[in-house]
Amino acid sequence: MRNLVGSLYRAGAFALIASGAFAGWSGTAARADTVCSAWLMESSRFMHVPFGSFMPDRDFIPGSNDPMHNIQSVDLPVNIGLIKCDKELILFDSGWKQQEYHKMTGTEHFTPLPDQLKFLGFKPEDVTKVVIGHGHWDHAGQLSDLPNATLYVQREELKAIEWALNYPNPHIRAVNTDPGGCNRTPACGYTPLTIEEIYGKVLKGKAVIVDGEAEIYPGVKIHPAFRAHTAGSQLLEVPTPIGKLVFGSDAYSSWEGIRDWMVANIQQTDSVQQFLAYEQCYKITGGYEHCITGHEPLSYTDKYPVTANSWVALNGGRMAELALAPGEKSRRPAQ
Amino acid sequence: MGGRAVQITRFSRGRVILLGAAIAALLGVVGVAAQRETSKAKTAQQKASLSASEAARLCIASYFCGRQAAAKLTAGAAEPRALTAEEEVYAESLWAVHSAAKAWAIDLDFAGLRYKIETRDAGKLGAKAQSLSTQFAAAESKARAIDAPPSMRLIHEKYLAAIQLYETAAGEMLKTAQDGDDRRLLVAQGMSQHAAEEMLRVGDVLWPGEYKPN
Repeated sequence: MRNLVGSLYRAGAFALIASGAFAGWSGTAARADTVCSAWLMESSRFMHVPFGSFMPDRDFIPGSNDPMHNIQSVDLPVNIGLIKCDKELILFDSGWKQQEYHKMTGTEHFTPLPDQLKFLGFKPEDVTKVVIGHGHWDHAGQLSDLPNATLYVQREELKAIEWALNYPNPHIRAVNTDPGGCNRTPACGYTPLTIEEIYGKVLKGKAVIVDGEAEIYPGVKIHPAFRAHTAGSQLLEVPTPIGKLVFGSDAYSSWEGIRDWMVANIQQTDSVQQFLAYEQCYKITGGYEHCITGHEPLSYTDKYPVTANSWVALNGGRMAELALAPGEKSRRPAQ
Repeated sequence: MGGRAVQITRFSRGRVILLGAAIAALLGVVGVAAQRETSKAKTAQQKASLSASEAARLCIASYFCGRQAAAKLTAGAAEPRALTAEEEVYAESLWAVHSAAKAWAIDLDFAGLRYKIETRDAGKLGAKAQSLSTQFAAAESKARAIDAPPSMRLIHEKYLAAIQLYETAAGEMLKTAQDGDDRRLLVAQGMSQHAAEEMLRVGDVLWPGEYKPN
């Protein structure tokens, strides 16, 4: 009897260990197998931006035949990433809310985010998470149009805005409009409306204040890229069937910049940190092809291959299907 | 008589030739002048349109849309229209209030953010809310004292309403500090968001190009 109990006990213990090991293995397998689908949406486009103001190394030299210096101006898309992992629908950046005042910024092809989501067969209520690469108004707008989405923003970003706002020297505390504009003014780019929307998410219990690294879904990881564009910039790593993608917002605004190792959109940027953000993408993805940028002028063309599967959607704005998980249907409209 | 006639005819022929040459020369001069004027006008037109597009580029290039650049931009656009001299004076007077008010608006958000995600210190929240409420009230008084031209009365009312809304929002925040009811913060945030949108609409008329892309 004692032997029987002992045997049962040992068998039970073995079963427990075995089941635990299986659970652990299966958990690891599930994490390793997580692949997501991803799309890119053009929230709007800044038109006729002098190339040199976006990328100083590409400034225009009249009469030059050098391909690095013979382009006078470029049109910059404002890109939003849409990521679907199983039932999770995640946005990386949220574009900006177009209003009359945007006429002065040379913006065209704007479409409200809810309409873009509907175009792809989703509803704004379906969005479960929104990760903002940083809190500037062209990347963190429209949050109140995503009622169920939890916002992910770095604590460092919020701390830096508050610090700059309360700094006594006006060179530092400029809020977009002060003489001298945005360049090198750390509080610039954060309008009251943008901050209201972030604050609204916090009050509604729909915000996670991130401190550095975070995994928001198995395999979907936030990486800090502090000062690569703003104080609390962050990247998002996404596993897909074509390999890992890393969305960079303005930590890397230009894909050519990553490829050719040149800074871009450096208003509030520590350029060394921007290069380290580039390096982070090289390390995670094994190259530069899968770095998804905030404003690359070549977006939605075959010159930026990962975005080549593209089409013109609403109001002349473009979309691209970056990767499709097994079983996920294409959202590209029939030709 | 016949000889005289011949003389006259000869004389007339000579004069006619001279006159014709003079007219041709004059026409030539007029033609060249007209062409130069047309060309000048075209160049001026091209220059004007270039300067408008340059201004647009400048806005984005340097992230600085100065008022002059904005005015050049609006010259070719359907709206917003250029302000009259009287309206310009009004816009500049209100700007002094507005440039401070929008920083306070963000400060108000951060008072709430700090309370919610950092300190939970009702004392600090109350002190900040009280201070901002007083500042918004002072801003409203200053704005009210500005003489708005008739064409800007509605805009002025809209602006005053936005400032009042911020003041009320700060008051709601103060109540949270007193009774600990966080729901008031959400009410206050709704007010602030509406005020922020209204201020942007006012800015579109008075300070086009107020904000720069990032």
